[in-house]
Amino acid sequence: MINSPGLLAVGSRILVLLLLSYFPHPAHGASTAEGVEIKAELQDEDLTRADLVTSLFRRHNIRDAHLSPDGSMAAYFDMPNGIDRRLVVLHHEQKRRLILRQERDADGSRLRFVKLHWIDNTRIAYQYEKDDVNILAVSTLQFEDGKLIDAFLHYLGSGIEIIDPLPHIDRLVVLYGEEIYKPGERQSPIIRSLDYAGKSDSWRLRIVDVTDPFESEKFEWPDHMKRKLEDSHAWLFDTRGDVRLIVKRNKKHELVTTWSWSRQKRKWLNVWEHSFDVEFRPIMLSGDGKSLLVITDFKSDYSVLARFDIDTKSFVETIYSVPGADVNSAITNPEKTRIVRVGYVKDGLVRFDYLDGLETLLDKPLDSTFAGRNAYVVDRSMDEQIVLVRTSDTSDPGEIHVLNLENGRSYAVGAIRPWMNDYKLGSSQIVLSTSTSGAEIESYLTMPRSAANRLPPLIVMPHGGPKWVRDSRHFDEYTQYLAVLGYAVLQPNYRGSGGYGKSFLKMGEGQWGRLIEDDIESAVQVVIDRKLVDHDKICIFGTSYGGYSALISAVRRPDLYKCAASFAGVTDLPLLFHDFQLSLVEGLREIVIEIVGDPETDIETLVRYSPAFVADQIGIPVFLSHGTDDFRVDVEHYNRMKLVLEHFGKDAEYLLIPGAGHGFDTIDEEVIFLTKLDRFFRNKMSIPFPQTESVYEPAAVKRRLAEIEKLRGNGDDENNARQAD
Amino acid sequence: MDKDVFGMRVEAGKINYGGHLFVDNHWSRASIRMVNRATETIDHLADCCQNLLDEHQLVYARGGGDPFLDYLSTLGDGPL
Repeated sequence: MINSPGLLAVGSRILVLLLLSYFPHPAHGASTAEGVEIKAELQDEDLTRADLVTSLFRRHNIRDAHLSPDGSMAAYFDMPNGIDRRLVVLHHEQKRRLILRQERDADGSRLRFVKLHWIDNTRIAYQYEKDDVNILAVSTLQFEDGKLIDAFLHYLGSGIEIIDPLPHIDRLVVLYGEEIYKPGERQSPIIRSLDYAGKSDSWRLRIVDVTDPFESEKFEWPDHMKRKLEDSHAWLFDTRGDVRLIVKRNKKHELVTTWSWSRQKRKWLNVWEHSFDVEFRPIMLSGDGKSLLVITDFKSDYSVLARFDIDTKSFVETIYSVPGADVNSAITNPEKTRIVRVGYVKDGLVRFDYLDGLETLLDKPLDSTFAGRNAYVVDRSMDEQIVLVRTSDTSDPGEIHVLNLENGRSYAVGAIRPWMNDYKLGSSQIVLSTSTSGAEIESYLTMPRSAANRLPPLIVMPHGGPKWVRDSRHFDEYTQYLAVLGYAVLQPNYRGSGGYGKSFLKMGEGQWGRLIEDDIESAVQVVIDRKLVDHDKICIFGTSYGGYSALISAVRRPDLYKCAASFAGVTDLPLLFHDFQLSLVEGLREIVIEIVGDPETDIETLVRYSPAFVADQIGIPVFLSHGTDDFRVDVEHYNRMKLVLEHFGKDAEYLLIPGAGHGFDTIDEEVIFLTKLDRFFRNKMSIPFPQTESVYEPAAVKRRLAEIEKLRGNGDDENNARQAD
Repeated sequence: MDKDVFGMRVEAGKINYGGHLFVDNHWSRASIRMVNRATETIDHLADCCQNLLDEHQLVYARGGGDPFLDYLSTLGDGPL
């Protein structure tokens, strides 16, 4: 507790006490004291939990894989020893793997890889962070007699980010925000090109020529073109990488304006202006500049890919739509002359439809690599004959393969979390329910594999948001933590969830504690009616809005739920409007009013549906947890709820995690939270801890028990960072 | 500092709480957050000067007030 008050005034005499708290973020070690305490009291059951959590949240074995433009190589970040990440290039035909950069430098210091791009068939640009500085570097591959033998490293500078690598030409588009580092004129020709785009306070848009810096220095961008680029936040480039279209927002975030560059008139033309709540996402400008392909929901309930005529400012054609789902992405070929694929989520899984029918070819490899699995193409060569394929679903921790479409041969690049195959992972199914006012709700039920002879207990896990966010049937760490330990997990996409059209989004506005919870309960009822779970052992748990939902459900349905658990949950709706950001960011208050309700006109409703105001009506045990450094839902929400729960003598457990934010940064924090969460569920539902054979695959039992022995007494390791690196 | 953002309304005879001000230091720049941590203020006042809390009502002096403080005052032998 901070023991000084903030701004105080007593009577008419104003006493102003300003609490100036200079707190560089506490190191993740802030949770170490608690972590050590918990580890010291670890039982064997807790070691099993800690091993499972560590496996779920450790950094991925492989990430950010991309094919070279000719498809002969894949570049990616891997981590074979479980601690240090590397930048690697793999030549599939030559079966040769070359390490381009280690995460740990020769002097022992560490860097953090961010992302990579192929610039052409011999150069890989990659961003990394070191000592809080963002650096861009290029590895140039060396070949001898066509064989990959070595690579050379060039540093390009700091504060630079690649926006478009333009692999078909010798240029690339970058954003930069700081002075460019120039290690040597001849060694790094890329940075010698001229800045010929605009700038704002924090960044410049620059297009650079990777082969002929002197030619690009001759180029001058007209001043009036530069001016328009100021404060723009999205751009489209043509096949040469020239900026052809920009998107700007007004300061109140009310209007979004799109401008296109007319080569004939040599000026920016207003394409369209629309309100913030309309989707109008430019994807590709036609070669003649007369029409624009956009993802939009302006003329339909669901987002579609449509053609927009710039002269008449009208939508003339729907190019691609998906019944019952929003189109959420569209990718062009590198030359930006045609749409290659559109993306959406259907039945809880990411789908990419290739407009040339590419995805159907995945059914025809020579081997059975993808048989029965959810596989989708994530990258392809310029000639479109070699593709990178990823597999993923609830029970598939993910693999990356290269597939040659000409000969049908596939080649494994690697598995994303190979160690997760040691566990008995749950598998998911779709649950459909009809809620209040006839709303159709799609939910996902993950069933544990360990519940052969009895119905499993159920954890209902509503997602955060509540608006725009959604759950899917892809591999999810929290779902599998619970499923491996024997619970069924239900994830409802209640009204307001993203991907189901704008009417469904709108239906969720102002429904905190009301129709949203009706939707969740409708899904629970279907699962009970179908006798898939033990109706007498159901708890609800969530984070952020999900935490709110759990707490308010403890008031609404003590007959349905045996217990409720919240992390970072909202407990006081009027308190949301005391958020300082609402005073600083114009338009933000209106957005929050739309989602939550208006405190000016309906404060009584906001109070009535705030758990902190109705805690006296809670009829089931509650687990309340929060991070001290949560800037999104302030820890005051936790403090208020704890205060009233204690006042009314409710059955409640509390866990305040020092240094944690709106989520967890370290595996230690995950272990602390998830250990106590599982203990709470088992205690309140009288469930014994599962036997070893229920948790692990038979062939993996010895390996996992050896890993657990390593955890015993091992208070610290270098791999405590969570996977999201 | 913007007066509209940091301004507070002071009522006579009450303990007027305007929020906790946090200054987060990032190298050469600093970011500022103003947060309603009324429960921490209650804890502080209870520790240092319970008599002040007994004699004066605690109110949130920004925006439209804080209904939670009103609610706490209705809880009898409660926190306030």
